Amino acid sequence: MAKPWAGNAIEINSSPKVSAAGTATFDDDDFDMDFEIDSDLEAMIAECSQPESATTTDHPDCGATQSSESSSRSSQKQTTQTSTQHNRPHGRRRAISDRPRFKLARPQQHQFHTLDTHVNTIAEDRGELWWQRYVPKSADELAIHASKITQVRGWLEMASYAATHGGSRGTDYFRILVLEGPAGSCKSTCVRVLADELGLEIVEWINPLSGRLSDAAQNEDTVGVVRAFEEFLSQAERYTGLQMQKSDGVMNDGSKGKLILIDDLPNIGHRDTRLSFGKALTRFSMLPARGSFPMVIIVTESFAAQQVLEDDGRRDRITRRFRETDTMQNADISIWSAMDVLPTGVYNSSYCQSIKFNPVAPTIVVKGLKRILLLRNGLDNVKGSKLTSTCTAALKTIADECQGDLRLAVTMLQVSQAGNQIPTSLDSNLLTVGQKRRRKVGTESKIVDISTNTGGETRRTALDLFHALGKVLYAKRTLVVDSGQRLTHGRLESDPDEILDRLPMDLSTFGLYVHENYAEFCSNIEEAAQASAYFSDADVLGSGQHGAAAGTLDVYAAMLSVRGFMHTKNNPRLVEDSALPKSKSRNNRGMTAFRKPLFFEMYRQRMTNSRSLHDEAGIEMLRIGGLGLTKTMETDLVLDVLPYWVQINARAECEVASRHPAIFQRLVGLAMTDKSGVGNTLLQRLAVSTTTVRTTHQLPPMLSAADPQEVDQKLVLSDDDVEDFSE
Amino acid sequence: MASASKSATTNNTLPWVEKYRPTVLKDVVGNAETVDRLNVISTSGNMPNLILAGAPGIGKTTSILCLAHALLGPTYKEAVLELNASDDRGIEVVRNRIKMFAQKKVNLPAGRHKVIILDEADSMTPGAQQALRRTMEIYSNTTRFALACNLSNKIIEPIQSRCAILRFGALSKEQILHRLVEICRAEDLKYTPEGLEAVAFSADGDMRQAINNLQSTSSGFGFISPDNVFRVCDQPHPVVIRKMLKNCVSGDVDDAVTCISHLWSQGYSAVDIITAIFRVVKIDIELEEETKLQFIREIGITHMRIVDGLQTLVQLQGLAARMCKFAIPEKVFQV
Repeated sequence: MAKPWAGNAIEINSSPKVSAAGTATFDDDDFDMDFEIDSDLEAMIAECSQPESATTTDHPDCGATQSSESSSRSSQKQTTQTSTQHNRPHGRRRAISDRPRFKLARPQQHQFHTLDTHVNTIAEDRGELWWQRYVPKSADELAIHASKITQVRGWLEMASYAATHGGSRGTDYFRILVLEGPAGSCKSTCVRVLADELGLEIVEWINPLSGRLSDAAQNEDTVGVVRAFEEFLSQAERYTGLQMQKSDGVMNDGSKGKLILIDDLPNIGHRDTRLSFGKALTRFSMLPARGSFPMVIIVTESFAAQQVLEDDGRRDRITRRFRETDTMQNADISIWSAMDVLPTGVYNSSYCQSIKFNPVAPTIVVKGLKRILLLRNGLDNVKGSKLTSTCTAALKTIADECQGDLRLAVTMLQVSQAGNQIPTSLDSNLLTVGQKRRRKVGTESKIVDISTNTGGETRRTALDLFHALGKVLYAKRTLVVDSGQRLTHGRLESDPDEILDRLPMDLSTFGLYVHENYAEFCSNIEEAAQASAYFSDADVLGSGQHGAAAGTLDVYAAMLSVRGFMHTKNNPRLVEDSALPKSKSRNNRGMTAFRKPLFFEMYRQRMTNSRSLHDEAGIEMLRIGGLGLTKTMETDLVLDVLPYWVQINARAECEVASRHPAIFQRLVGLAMTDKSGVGNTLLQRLAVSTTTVRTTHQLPPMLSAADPQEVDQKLVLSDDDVEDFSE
Repeated sequence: MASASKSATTNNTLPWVEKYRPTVLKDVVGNAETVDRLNVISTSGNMPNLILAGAPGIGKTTSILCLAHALLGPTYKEAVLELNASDDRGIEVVRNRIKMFAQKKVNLPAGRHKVIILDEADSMTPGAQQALRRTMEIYSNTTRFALACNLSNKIIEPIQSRCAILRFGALSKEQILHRLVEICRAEDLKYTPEGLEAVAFSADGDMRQAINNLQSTSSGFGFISPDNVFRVCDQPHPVVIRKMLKNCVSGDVDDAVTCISHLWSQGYSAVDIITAIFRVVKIDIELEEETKLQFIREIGITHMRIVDGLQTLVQLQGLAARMCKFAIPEKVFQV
């Protein structure tokens, strides 16, 4: 595993002088800041009377003979500092940073590295964002499920095979891959890493500055952007033509081909842009695979929660939305799935496959964070390295908080480290391991310790989500002895207003969390009934139906749901008949896992369903009745037409296609003559279903087979028919 | 701004909010933990992309400006791009101005980045935010973003995913009072403690409003007393509202309705009155837990009707009556 950041930069000698393995390209001033060493590190260095050495065992550039400090050392200085002395008074630390910095001496007795290594190292030391700095470099570091990796890899292999060898039917379909998923679910990283592994060069579309476009385009920027996009695509194609003349499919530079990556979408909220973008994609998908490059489009679920909540308040959102699409108004649309981005014709066509990414599971997030921490401390390739339990617990909290967003998790880790909330402490003798000139032999297990430093008690700390939820849902009360000498619940231990003030999220989202989880915390039906009454009142207030003033009502909604539940729960008045032990027993069931609200997932599904409803049934209705789809008709459709439609579709796809090839052919024929588009959709569906079969079941790389004939034989029977008709 | 506050001549013309805006992070009032974290960032230099979320007037913009000054020092002018809601921030701006700035070459000390401050980012359209997404990634080597917003859930997920979210909680009354006293001393103002409390109450945790109210009271009357404050701020006097609430708690419908009518006859709008009632209820510590809950519900429902357009006295009187009802035993209503 080559890790560029392990390329070393500084060496610490026995004297507290620090020298950098600098190159002539960077002057001292550049180093000045990065390698500022403060007294803690100095003390540590002094403590170890020999030159400190961390060997980067398998970095190609470093050479194992080089005794050097891994570059992570310098970034470590801060964390080391906090760990060794993080309980000393604040003032001292300030004093330290006021100390004069060490000026870096010129490198003396060690070899230079290649310029590349240095550029990387320095750049990293200047402070990169962790989620970019510690981006995985190989597939086994990717924090996603292995099957997803296999799927994407399979597709890329097929596609690059098609691009180089091409021609064979079947591989022709590997034109566009759509990766869908929420933010931070490793979509882009996965493509980049795998493309790198397969030797594919990535050509990425970046939205241009309109100032850079030609004069004509400057007048109408949006059109200009799209024109630039078309140009980008055609250029990508043209270059292929030239390069592909090498029949062996191997480029001069050893790369097997290119991959067009679209991560930065054009402004699809703009009508013309969306249309032209769609057109460009349609044209692209129709190109023969051979002599062109495959394209990967990354569609990130993107919406603003507040907007969704408000839209949900106005129930006519969906119809409004589609009316907009029909009349092609400019709209700021949220992206829920690839269908919001790609034209239906492309998305449903057989030239486009889609892989859905899920939010990253908390355990995997923890694994990823752990990897970063170990990397940071240079312990990544040390066997038996592990984190202390407090550290793991801290990571677990982050993983829970980030809700499957790996990037956010890494950012949170970075900020928490910068803020010393979770200082990394390293025992100096555990730092380095195993080459010949090791300074000290560490113990067997290498431990990175992260302990939560609570800091000053007086500080008003923000609550984390689960803490806040717990405070609300357990609604602990002080116990008081009432007049009848019985123990009973008294005042609430935590003030609801204070909880709301210290929330880690917005009021409305927190309300969703409380509502999602409250039922399990009710000990009897009266409690549940009363609590839900408050929730329904809160829902009315927070529904976002009240125009511009909606924001002010959110406060009421949040207060009502939180106060309402906390009041209901364990209320002395409600649990009269010595209910103390009873309600206690409920609380003592051990840790109840909080769930995240299903609201957004449901909303997403609803949008998707409604979208496909409009795509399929809507067109059909239009054909039959010559009518557009209205809101009432939508309800009719769902209730009356859809069940039959599904039946018909299912029959068409499964039975007809596989069992009655003759009928299927007729159907396909019908579809081809049918101008309405229904048949077309059907046709595309058939093609999609067959290609899906192929991608999921033919995972072994096609390239190794390398025999077009064999490829053909593996295809599903009906595939040929489809292609014959589409030609 | 910083240079202006230094020169004594321009001081008189500056609004106090600008004049007394902190210029270093340690002067920022409240939210000690968040500000500390920013402080650490300002010393380490590696500023991640940030979202600062919180109610208005609690120091988001101030903190981020302080951070930028601390990070960039003399290069601030070249290396910071500040855009707020008054600037056009459509997709065009993101595509052009922001990108152009991100591509700009500025000589900075190592480990420092250019900073783009997008104030009131929640007023950016989702489309513009979408356009920002990849820009944040591509130029992260040289440029970092700081977004200040009131509601972080108005920021689309991909942006949130790329930022560390720092939350700013409301300022406590003490924190605001402390700062007000400082300003009064600096301005040599005459005040009564109750007067400052009134300012703090009228601002409801919003430092900017508190200072503005202080300044307008001082320029209007030259003396900070509760009456002056409420006259200047044009808010219903909380004393009247407290009286009304007391009547409600004791079930005295007539007096409660009279209080409301009194406020109404002074010309306050329904929204003003309901907002003031809510504020008083919120900070009232004497109310029983259940009474408070019921009051909040009733006030909320009435507020909803008012924003829906029913800005009438009847609604407010109805509210008073319903709040009284909780104090009256149920059997009174049985026929």
